[in-house]
Amino acid sequence: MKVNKELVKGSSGTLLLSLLEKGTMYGYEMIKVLEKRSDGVFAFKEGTLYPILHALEAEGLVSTVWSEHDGRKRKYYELTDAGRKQLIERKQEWNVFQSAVNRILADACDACFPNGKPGENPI
Amino acid sequence: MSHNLHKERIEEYVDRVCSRIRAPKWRKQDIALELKSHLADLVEEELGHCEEKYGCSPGQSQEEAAWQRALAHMGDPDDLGIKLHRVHKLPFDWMLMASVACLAALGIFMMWAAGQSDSKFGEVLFAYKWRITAVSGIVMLGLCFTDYRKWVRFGYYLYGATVLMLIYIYEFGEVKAGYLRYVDIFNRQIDLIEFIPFLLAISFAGIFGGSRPKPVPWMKLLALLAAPVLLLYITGRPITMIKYGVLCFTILMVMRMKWAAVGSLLVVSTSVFIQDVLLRDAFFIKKVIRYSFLQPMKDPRGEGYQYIQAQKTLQHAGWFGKGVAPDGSLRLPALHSDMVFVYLTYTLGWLAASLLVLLIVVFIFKGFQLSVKVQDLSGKLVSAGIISLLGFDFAWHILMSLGLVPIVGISLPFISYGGFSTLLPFASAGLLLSVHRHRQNLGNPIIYVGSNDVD
Repeated sequence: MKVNKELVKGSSGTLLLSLLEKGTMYGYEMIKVLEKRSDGVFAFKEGTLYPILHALEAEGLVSTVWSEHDGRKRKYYELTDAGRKQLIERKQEWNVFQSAVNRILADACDACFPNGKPGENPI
Repeated sequence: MSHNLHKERIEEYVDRVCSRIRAPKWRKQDIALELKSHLADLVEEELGHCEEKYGCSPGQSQEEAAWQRALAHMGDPDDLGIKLHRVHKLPFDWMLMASVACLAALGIFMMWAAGQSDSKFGEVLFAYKWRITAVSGIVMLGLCFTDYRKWVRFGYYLYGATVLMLIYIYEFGEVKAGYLRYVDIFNRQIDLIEFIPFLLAISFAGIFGGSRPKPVPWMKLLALLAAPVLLLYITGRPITMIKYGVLCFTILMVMRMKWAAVGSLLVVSTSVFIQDVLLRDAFFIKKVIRYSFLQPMKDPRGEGYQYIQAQKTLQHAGWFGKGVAPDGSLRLPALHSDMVFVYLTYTLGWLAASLLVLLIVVFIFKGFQLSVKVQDLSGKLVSAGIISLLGFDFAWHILMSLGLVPIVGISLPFISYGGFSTLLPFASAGLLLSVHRHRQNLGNPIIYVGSNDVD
């Protein structure tokens, strides 16, 4: 299923930060991991990754270092302390947000099923 | 054969992206290198798919298809370039620029007015002021559009040059009015000591900030901070030493060395005291306590004269000022330099003077805010250092106009007559603008020099 672009846009910074939680990564690697973990939901134009990463770097949330592997120069991204702090805050924010949204959506669903939700009334 | 063609295609794509970005060359090179590396990975993967599908090494047409898919995956180069430009463009601090322009215009106007109020200056003040303001403005823009890290990188050299300059002043300087020392350069008497705290602020930013900040050994720190204290001590001007103390305090506070900061203030104030008592028979302290601002009536025709005249002038100013005083009607010594704030208040009134103070407070506040926001340590140090020097001059000048601190020849930055009191504030503003422009922590230009190829 394709997800609304705006939805992805708002959270892409946080997603990238969370990818870096376990260690350093370079851009291409991040795209692949993101695609795999999200079952292809987050398959966006790969170029757009870099403006987001560079904005994170400008804010001091990630730092970068160039290194060479198998004759290919790669720019590795790493979480800074500020980035780690930011990630924790964003995660909490997301939890609050998603549980609120879920509650409201669930209430809305109550209205959809006046005789109780499917599976709630076994008789 | 086809390999070269593909390399060309990468170049073409990346060039197209970069053409949309207006940023320093090294930053563009960095972006180009990263995109090229990504594209190379992408093509490799696409070719890998080919091999899986057909079980053989890809032919030319499959290779071609792989390239097209890779470029399609990356997205539209123009769109990407615009997005990258938004992140990488160098911002310009219009607020700071506007407040500098206000101060500059006010300075030129005040010098014109001073020429009217005291005919012995005639047109000289105005003619000199607008010229030096124009030159300083150009210096400011020049500094603004160059990366401050280029200057800051030469911290040690600048430090050495500053110490040599102090020695030169000591050897060849001329003593006037107690402890001022002028140096003849191109037949002009120049008060080079004014220049020294400014140079030291930049040097320390380079030495302690560096491209890769590392903890500074204590001994080195002490030696660096102490050497100029010693030399200023020899050339001897208490107010410059106090100003230097404020600079040390600020630098150490930025480096989060609170106790060293407090210590540096103690060391400087003690050495001012000792120098004055031992070498000058307490000249400065006597001046401060016996006459001057605490008891101006003790010597109303000598030391106290300027204070009394300043107070009288201020009392007559009123909210909206008295306009440009006719020639000779104001008995205010040095109304174009030390007493320019008093003269300004008399001419334009307390309301305008309060607005000026407000503008100055905002200016200083913005400067400190910048030093908090910028991530690069040398940027923090240079902006905090020069803003503390400027803030010191502003504060001292205004307080001495109000008769709260001794009158010791501190000019009002931007506004007072004089070469350095115009040039240095503009140069400081230029550095602040440059720090603002480069405040984003997107790599360091020094690291990338000469490494811009991808295989």
